[in-house]
Amino acid sequence: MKHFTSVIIFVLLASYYTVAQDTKIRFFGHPGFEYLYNNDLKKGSPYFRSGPFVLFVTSQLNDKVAVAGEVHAHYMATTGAEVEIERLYITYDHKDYLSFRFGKMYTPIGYWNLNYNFGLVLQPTISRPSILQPTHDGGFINTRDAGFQVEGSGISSVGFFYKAFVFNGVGKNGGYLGIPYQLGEAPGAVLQLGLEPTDGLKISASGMYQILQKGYPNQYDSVFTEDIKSMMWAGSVSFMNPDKKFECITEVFYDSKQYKSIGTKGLDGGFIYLGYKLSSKIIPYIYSETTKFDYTDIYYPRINVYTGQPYVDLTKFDLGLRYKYSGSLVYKFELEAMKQDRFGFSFGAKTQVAFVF
Amino acid sequence: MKNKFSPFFKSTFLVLALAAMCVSMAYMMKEPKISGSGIVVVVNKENPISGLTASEVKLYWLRKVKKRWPELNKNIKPADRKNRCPEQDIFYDKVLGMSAADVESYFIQKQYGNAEKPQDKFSNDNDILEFVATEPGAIGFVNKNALNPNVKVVFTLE
Repeated sequence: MKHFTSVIIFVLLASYYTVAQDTKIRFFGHPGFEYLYNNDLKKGSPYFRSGPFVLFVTSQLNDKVAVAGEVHAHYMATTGAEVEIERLYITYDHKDYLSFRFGKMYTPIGYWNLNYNFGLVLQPTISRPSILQPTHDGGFINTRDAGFQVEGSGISSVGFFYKAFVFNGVGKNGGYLGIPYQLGEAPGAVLQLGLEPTDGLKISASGMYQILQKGYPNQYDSVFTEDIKSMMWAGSVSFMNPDKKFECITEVFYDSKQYKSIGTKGLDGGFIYLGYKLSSKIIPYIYSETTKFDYTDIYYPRINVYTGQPYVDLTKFDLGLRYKYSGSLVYKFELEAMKQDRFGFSFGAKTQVAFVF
Repeated sequence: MKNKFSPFFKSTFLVLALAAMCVSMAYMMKEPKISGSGIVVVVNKENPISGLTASEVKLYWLRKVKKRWPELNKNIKPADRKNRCPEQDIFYDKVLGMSAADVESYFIQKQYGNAEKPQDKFSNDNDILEFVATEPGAIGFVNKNALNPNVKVVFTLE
């Protein structure tokens, strides 16, 4: 109840500032339905999804300064109803090649993580890459965090762009409301370098580095028993140009953790999305992803405390159709086949209505 | 006098006539026509830029690659029409090469990804001209007939 009161206060404040500033408020939603049948268990069931309710507000304070805030209310099977600040940051655009961002934001890895997340009306698929599940939901990679970013784009004729982000890191996620000196000393850092040589074609590489310190808490609220050096590499190629028929996003990730006691443990994964616009409204597509999990990595608990399920390898293939009724209303349908360790092979269909208003 | 056409043929004829009327109306609506001799793309008089090609107009209006005007160093502020109109249809189709849904998605994406302000929308050409005349970074499209001397023309689509 307290959370929902906070949301209402936030909305009222946001509405007030709509009058006072050049403010735009958007609400995102994406209810859906799915039926998955597990062939190993010989069991299937229909499932309705409400999806989260997302409030996204931006305001251009002056010619160079803008702010953005994103709040979502959702339901987690393990923790119940939650309201969370997804992003909250201020930007200062000095020049195209130099701007600054301060606050909580998406970490600059690949294309998908920076462009979709809760804006499902923008996301080309229903499925979200499992490798990009955020750490705060029991995922693998810091997909967002609080920190400071320097960035620039459109540099030279090859469209060079960069983003350098210094952030709290996995060990300090609790520091948002906690006591910083109890949450470790070393911040994390990400560097993304890329090119956009032609309109819509983006090629980028990202590297993330964090030291997870002994004696400090991790994302599961347990304590690291030794220093761990965490490194993540991501490569991304995307071609998403609204006036071209062909669409593509493909990304690969490798996340390693170096232990003194057990050596280096790695996690890798990737996905590919290919779409073709039959018309401006109808876009059939295919999507496939894989995540290879190292079961001997002691960083991860046997059971993911956020989902109540064990971490598993996953391979998935989707055949989908997107119907873009307008820019603010999109219908998606996917036939899915998925193989997971410990859960076996499952297949079925998913549908989603994504909107923004 | 006995009617030589059966009710079946009469109703079929009526349905076909209505269908033909709908198809021709849809065809007429498909090709937007504007009064006057075309549309022009205008910027503020402070903007030192002298002329743009169609592809440059697209890059600036969509804030692709550049978010700020070179030399002027001001935010590029695209001006659009609030409701669908022939000028907008032609600008989207001939200059941007995009559908209205794609333009809408594009600006939502820019806002969602980078907190970029979407395009300002106006009810008519005069409001766009007034906005462009007062905002140094503005760029908009209007019917050539509505043009006034308070703005600078950088592109003409005949």
